[in-house]
Formats: sequence, C-alpha cells, structure tokens
Amino acid sequence: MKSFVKTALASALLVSFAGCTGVVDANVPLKHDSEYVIDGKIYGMPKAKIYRDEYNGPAVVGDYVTMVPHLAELDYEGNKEHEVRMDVFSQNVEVAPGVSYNAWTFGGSVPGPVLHVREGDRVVFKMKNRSTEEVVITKPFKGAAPYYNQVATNQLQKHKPVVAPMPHSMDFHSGTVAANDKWATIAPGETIEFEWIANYAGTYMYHCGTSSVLMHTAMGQYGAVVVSPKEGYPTDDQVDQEYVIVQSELYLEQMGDSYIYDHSAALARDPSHVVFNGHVSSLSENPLKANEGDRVRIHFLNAGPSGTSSFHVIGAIFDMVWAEGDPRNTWYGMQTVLLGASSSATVEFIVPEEGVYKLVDHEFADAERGAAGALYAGPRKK
Amino acid sequence: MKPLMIAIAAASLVFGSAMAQDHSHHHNHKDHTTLGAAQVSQEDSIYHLDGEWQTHTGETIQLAELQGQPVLVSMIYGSCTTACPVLVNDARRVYQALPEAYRKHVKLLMVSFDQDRDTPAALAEYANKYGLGENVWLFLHGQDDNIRALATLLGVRYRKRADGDFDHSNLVTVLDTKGRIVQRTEGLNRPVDEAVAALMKVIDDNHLMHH
Amino acid sequence: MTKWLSVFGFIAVAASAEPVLVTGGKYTPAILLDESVQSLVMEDFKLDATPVTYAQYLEFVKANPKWQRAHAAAIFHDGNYLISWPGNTEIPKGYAERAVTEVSWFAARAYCSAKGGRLPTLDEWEYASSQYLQQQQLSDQAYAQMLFGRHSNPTAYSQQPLDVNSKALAHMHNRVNEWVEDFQLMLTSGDNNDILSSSCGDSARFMADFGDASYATFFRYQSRSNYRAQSTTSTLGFRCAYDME
Ligand SMILES: [Cu+2]
Repeated sequence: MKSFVKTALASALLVSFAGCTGVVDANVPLKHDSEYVIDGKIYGMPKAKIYRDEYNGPAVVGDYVTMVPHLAELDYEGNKEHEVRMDVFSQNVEVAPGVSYNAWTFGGSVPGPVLHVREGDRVVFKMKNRSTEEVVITKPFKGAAPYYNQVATNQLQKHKPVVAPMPHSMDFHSGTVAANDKWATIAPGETIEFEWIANYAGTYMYHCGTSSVLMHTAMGQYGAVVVSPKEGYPTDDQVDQEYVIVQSELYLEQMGDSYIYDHSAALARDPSHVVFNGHVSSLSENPLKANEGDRVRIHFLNAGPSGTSSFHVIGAIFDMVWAEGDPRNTWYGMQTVLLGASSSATVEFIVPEEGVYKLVDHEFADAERGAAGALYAGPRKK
Repeated sequence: MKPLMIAIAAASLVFGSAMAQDHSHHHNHKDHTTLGAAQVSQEDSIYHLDGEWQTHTGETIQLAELQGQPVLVSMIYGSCTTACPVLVNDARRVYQALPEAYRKHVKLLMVSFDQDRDTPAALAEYANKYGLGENVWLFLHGQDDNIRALATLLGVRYRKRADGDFDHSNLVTVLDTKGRIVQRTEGLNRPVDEAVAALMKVIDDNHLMHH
Repeated sequence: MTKWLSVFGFIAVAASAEPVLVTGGKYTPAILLDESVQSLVMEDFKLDATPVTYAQYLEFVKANPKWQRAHAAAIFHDGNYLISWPGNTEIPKGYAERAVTEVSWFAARAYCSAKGGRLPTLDEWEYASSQYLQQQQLSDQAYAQMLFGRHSNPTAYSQQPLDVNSKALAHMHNRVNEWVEDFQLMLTSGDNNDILSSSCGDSARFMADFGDASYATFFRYQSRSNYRAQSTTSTLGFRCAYDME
C-alpha cells in the first residue's frame, strides 16, 4: 500500500483546483492518490477491500477503543492514524434481569465498543464477519483493545458466544464516503477493510446498514464514535469526568425460555425495554462516579432505532450543551436535551452536592422500561 | 486447513458512471436495467466449470480448452439492442488498442445469456457483423445452468425478464492463461487502457510472443 | 444418474421420500422483484419434500469424489465447505437425518444435477412456500414468529432432525435457509440501486404490504441474496427441484 504525505503546496494546489477558498491546514496528511482537500477536510478515500482470511485474533483492536461508559484518553498531539478492528458476530447478552437474547453485535456487546479519535484523524478500519464462529470476548487477549479488559471486569450482560450466520455491514456516521462502497454488506467469513477521516467533530452513531436495518439495529448492531474537536471544547481544562452513554430500544418477546426479536413491536415502536448502555441496570449496578463540585461531561447518543430520547439529570442543569458534539453548536442552561434517532449531544453539568443523581429519559414511558441510571457523587475534593 | 487469502475484487472501478448510464433507462421499461456487478474471487480458475458450450462455428467445447492464452470475456444476448452492442464494441476497442504483435494472442469471448434465442447460427451472424477475422471472436451458446454458473463466477448478475429480454451487469473481464480473473471493467464505453495493460502483462509474463 | 440413491445407500440410510408435485397456478409474490410484474403464472414442477440430508449428501460425495471436502475446487467454496465432517466420506455423528449445511451454491447445484434435478428458482421456492403455508394453515403471525425465531437462534433450528419420510412439503421454514438458483436476485426494475447493494432502509418499495409475514419473507430474500455463491454456513442448506417429464 502506498503511504506518503503530500506537501502543503500540493494540498493547496488541489484546493485551488477544486475552486475552493477554504483555509488549508498546512499539515493535512494525504495518503492515497485519490484524496483531495476541501476546507481542510480530506475526501476521496480509496475503494473498500473485501477478502477472506483466517483471522482469529482479538475481535476488537485499537488503543482508543473502550466499553461504554468509558472513553479512552487521547494521549497524543495533533492527528494520528488509527488501526481499528471491530468484528461482527453473535452473542447472547442479558439486557434485563432474566432477559437475554442472541444479539447481533459489533465486538460482542450491546452497544458495541466506543471509538475515540480526534478531528482530522484517519481510521483504517477492518471488520470480519465471524457470525459463523463462537467468539469469546470475556477473556483477556493479547493485542486486543482496552475494551476486552473492561468487558471481562463488567459481566452485567453475561456474554455467551453463539453462532448465527448472517450477512452484515458497518456504517459509520462519522465517515464521509460513498456508502455503496464502504458500507457494503459482507457474507459470513469475509472481511471488509476501508478508511475514513474524522472530518467533523462530534459524537456519532455507527450501525449495521444491511436490510432490514430496523432488524439489524434492533438486534444490537450500533455504537458510538466520539470525535473530539481539533481545538478541543472550551471547557476542556475544567472537566473532571467524561463518560459515554448510548440509549437504545429493544423489541423482544418471550419464546420458550429465551427471547427473540419482535418485529411487529419494532414496527409499532413499542419497545419491551429502553436501555442506557445495553442493560436496564447498566448505570445502577455500575453508576457513573464524580465528586461534589465536579464538571461532568457526557457524550450522549440516542441510537434508536426508532425512538426519541429526552435526556435529563435529576438535580442538575446542563450549563453547556453541544448539539451533536460539534463545538460550534453551543446551547446553554438546558434541563433536558431532546434527541432523535441517531442524534447526539455532548452535555456538561456541575455536580452541586454529594449525593445520587438519577439520569433518565424524561419520556417516562421510556424511563419505566429501563432508560434510567445514576451518578454517585462523593464529597467535594477541591 | 488451507492457507488462503482469497482476494475478492471490489465490485467496480467505475460505479458512478455505471449508474449514470442507467438513468437513461429509468423511465423506459422496454430497455433493460443495468445491474451492478457482484464481487468475485481472483485466486482460482473459472475453468473448473465443466459444462459444454456450442461455438458460433458449430463446435462443442469446454471452457478449459481456452487455457494458455489471455481471454477477454463479456456476457451479452443477441436480441439486445442497447447495452450489448456497446459491450461487444468495447471488447473490439480493447483488441484494436493492443499493439499489432499482441493481438493474435488474445481471444475475445462473448457468452450469451439467451439459451433459447441465441443459437450457434444466430451467434455466427452476430460474429460476422463484428468481423475481426475468424480466430479472434468466440461466441458461445450454452445451457441455462452453465450460463448461470459462469455468470456467477464472473460476477455478472442477470435475470430474464417476462418479455424474454435480460437485465444484466455490463462487465468486460480479462482472464489470464489459467482462467483467473485479472482485471474487470464495469460499465459501457469505458477507457480501455487498464484492460489493454492487463492483457499485455499476461502475454509478457507468459512469454507468449516468443512461442 | 437418476434421482434415486444407490441400493446400498438405501439400506444404509433412511429412504428419501419422492419429490412432491407442486401444482402450477397464479402467484402473487410478497416481494416485488419487478415493479411492473404483480403476479406470476407458475407451471407444475416437483420439489423435494425436505431439505437434502447429511446421509443423502454423503452418498453424493461417495459417488462424486471431486465434491468431497478435500477435493472440491477452491473456486466453488469459501474454505469452510463441509468443515464439520471428520473425513471425506464421514459425516459427524448423529447428523444423518439433519439438513446438510456447509454447502456452497455450487455444491448444491452439483448435487441436484447428479440427482437429475436442479435448484429451484427463487419464484418456485417461494411459490411452494406459499402453498405450504396454506396447507399448514399457519397464520401470518405464526409464520412470522417462526422465521424471526429461527433468525434469532438459527443453529438451534438447523440441528433438529428432519421428517425424512414426509410425503408432503416439510421444513420450509423451521430448519435452514435454502439456496435457490437465482439467489442473487434482489432487485427491481428501473433502478440500479437494488437491495443487494445494501441501501439503508429502503425496503418499502419492494413489498406488497407491510404485514409481519411479508416482512419475514422479505428478510429471507434479503439475507439469502447477500451470500456469495461460495458461502458455506452451518444454517444454509438446500432442496432440489425437478422438471415435469
Ligand atoms: Cu447486521
């Protein structure tokens, strides 16, 4: 594979060729002949590759790939190329006490892993369709993402590998590419490999785009990518805690001892469960932690597939809200943030006192079906 | 366990233009619909297919008999008035863009989708229209099951419509001397440089010019 | 080759039932592959009562060594062909009366051809399914639940034995997904952007109605069309069709 950095001059020429007057970052690294720059953003990724290999290494790879609610710290300056893998396979997961189903997953959990990058970073993504294999994610694996250890120490979903062969695909909302190429469906046993540039800051959904998208997403195939702004958020030096919450609906019905996907309920938007981070008890069994006086930042994604979320923290007010996580979209002083399906917001609030702060979807039909959790605040430290 | 790393070519190099082509047909259902090509394996020979075919000159052959020379293959049907003549012409354009000395080492293979209408005689007439000499073209008539198998290996998607015509992918494929796919051009009236280069490389790599 | 097992195979394994006559007639597909064609007229054909079993497939590979696991040409499968078999002519213990899986489209076609048949077309298979559902008097809801149940836990279904002596169509939906001759066809007229290319959520225009049953059927079409002809999985099998004499 070719790998080179084009000079600023070349970039500038490309931009002027495109007839565009945007400011060009002098150090935008172009890698492939097909790439070009508009307004400092890189477009024109090479074609996706689809191939078969016998990969059976860790199913999730990447130094900045974690399990919700964790977000990896970006411990590097400027931009970076990330090699990321999230294999797709089936896994039996518990979503409420006594309720488990055979989920279709990225990386084995619902929601899938969180990827953290910086605006301008390049992601070289690989995904193998391992739905014909039993993939174990609860044991540490050399070379695996931090996600693996986090899953091993948080067994709320009681992950059990299952085999459920099915074609799948990956659609990153954070990527700007030709969907028919990069988001192509792959058969069991195949691997897809493609690149995208995190051109826009924000918190983005990813999901399987294979028809029926309603079923593939409702079965568990979604997660979040957090693209931190190049220049940061204005409050970066004041933030004490940073978390990720993904809300989603489940549409399950009992069949024998287990639960299966209920398509009529999904079409009727009548969920059996609405969850934060994949389990009705995720954020009560393992509440978020902070201290009195802390500034807490939450990247909140409503994955849907079909419902809205009215996110609210009982006892706090969001003093800063960035719609979709883009620092240019600033709102102030919000009690509740309304999010449609696949919409996100980055919210911040001051924890006023030591105590317990309930996190809810203030649409109480959803909260009653599981969309609730808690933040435990300890005593003031400063 | 087999050591394998089977490359499957990305479906299309020219997707955008293939789609652009299609829009001309959008509101006219008499014309056939262009189907995007499927992905294919490039590791193995399509000559493993063992069905029998009739040539436009009335002979019966198996595809494996084409071994030893590079082949430019496309799938068409005779009564097609839109895409197919362009595909045949595309193959001819590739041929004519080859340096003179290379030409005699290349076979242009046109396989019909149409078991019922494209008899060897009908194909002979078709071949005559594109006269490039006896030994350049090979038009094949086969049975439905063999046609489907070959199309599948080439990544050509097609279906027969109620009116007897076919919806199909527009694909010109270069096979090496062993029948492996080495290059594909999707769409109509595309530049021929890549196919020409691929054919020349097969001929050079196999030292066919010195034989 | 005839479509009968050898006498030897007959003794060794359960007799395979006669193919079932599927009487032709008018048929309105749940999925509109072509927006200008609302209904089809099907001719009579015969279809195996059940998916092909391991025992039957074993006889086939014994008679056709080039389709044994170690000998099948690489271009005809994805590397996992018959991967569970302990040997070239040995099936896993207890599998004899299960639907054979881990077979590619090419392998399935070769089997049917050796039996004097062929894979059913997509329309034939779906037409037979619609007759089967009527015979079974399965409600739309029960049918949809069966299919979604199978998709939720396909391995549990594929491992159940078949009613190998069935005289009528059996196991159309409660064992394995099945290959059809034109499995790649998931498309409509007048638009390059067919469902095979996986566009997000645009299924509505292919569907005659939005009932659970149609949706379950759609999902079968869709997941089947996204396999490659080389794909082999533990939940994908086949049955053969035969033309009328
Ligand atoms: Cu999926």
